[in-house]
Amino acid sequence: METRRRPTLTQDLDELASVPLVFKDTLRGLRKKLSDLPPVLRSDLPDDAPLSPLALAVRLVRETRRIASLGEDLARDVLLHGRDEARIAAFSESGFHSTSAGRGEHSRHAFVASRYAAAKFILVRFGYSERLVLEHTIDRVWRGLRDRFASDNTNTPSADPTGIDRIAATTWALAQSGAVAGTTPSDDDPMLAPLVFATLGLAEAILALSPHPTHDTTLAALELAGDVMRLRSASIVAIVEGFDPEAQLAAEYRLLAPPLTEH
Amino acid sequence: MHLPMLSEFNLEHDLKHRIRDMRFFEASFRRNVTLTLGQLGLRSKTDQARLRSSFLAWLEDFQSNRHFAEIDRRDFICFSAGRMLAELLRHDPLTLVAGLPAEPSTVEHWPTGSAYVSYCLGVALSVMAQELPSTPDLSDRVTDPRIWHSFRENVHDNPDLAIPFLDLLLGQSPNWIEPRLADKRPAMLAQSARALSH
Repeated sequence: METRRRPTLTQDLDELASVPLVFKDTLRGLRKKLSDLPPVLRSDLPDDAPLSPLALAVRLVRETRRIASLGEDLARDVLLHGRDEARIAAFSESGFHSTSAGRGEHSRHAFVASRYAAAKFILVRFGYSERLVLEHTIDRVWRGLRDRFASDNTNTPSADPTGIDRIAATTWALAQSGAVAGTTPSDDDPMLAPLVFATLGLAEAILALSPHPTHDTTLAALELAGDVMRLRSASIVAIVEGFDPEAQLAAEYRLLAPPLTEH
Repeated sequence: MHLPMLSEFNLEHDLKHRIRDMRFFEASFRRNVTLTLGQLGLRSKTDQARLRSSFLAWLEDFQSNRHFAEIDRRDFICFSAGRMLAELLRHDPLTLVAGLPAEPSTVEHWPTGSAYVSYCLGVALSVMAQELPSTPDLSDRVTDPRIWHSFRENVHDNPDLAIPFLDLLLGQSPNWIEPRLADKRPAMLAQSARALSH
């Protein structure tokens, strides 16, 4: 008879640690939904307006929006790094290519926060500033990659000193994760997430070849990678739809990263 | 033909690697444009996305063909410069905005094309000077208006014909039939046949 296995303690702690991220993502989603409501529901009515169903709905929307916005601000300030600059600065060293990065909670938060900030940065450059990025989904990817690389001895630093294979694996895992989310079916562009995370991967590969990445060089790498990936979007489509996307992404990074790196 | 970047390229350490750096490519291309078109009193705009597209397309092709350098280095340098010229013509990043010549003659009848050619010739000759014991003299055809007229007409239909055109100017045997295929170039075929016969 089949018995149901209880989750291990490590899994329980992992899930617990991701709860604040789920909370933040929920608030962001709520705020987005509220901002998409029809104008009549978004208009501010005086407090002494009659208690019609419409007036009640308007007040509910207004209060909920205020709370959602406040809640997200609080969560951002309290739970993770306070500023986008700190998040972006952590981008290059928090990837799985980096042998200096540990696999502890600090590394986990740095990975999630920096990939969130970098993905938002790229989405704005691509003209998708309203698109949601889900931190708890990025966190789930980090956990999966941590487990995968813990038992993966094929990608040793001597075999792949710049960690391009792991960068490609990270890209593909994030691209498939659903971390870049549309809020309506019309938002659904299946190539957007692969393009965004392929951009992050290229930036990470460029920074892996750079001597001492800083906040400014990280931003410059993201900008350049974004410009180049838009020009290479046909290649990314072919990779996504082709055989062994991880290997093809690694080949793409090996082709593009050295000529784009500032020495 | 005036090659304004030649002396600067010659001073560049390890040009064959520097030219694969996109920032160097962009900066040197823009400087070549300023020196070639500016000298003629022409003003132009460079479309950065098109310029980068031409570089990326050339780079991809270069990486997939670089092993041919082991067969015949001189011929591969000419081929690579021709591929760069073909991608520049295909993506055509330059647009003239002012100062169009009233009486075009020889090279000036096609200012943007001459800017592309002078850049790629400069790269090819400098890399050869750094890598090979001798460099070729440019063919007299480089000032022949009929060659330029024919070149412009042909690459309009097929930008890859820029490869044999550049071969003519550099004194290499051209392959007009399958210009994109490095292994079908006369010099490569001759070297391969020589290697097989030994």
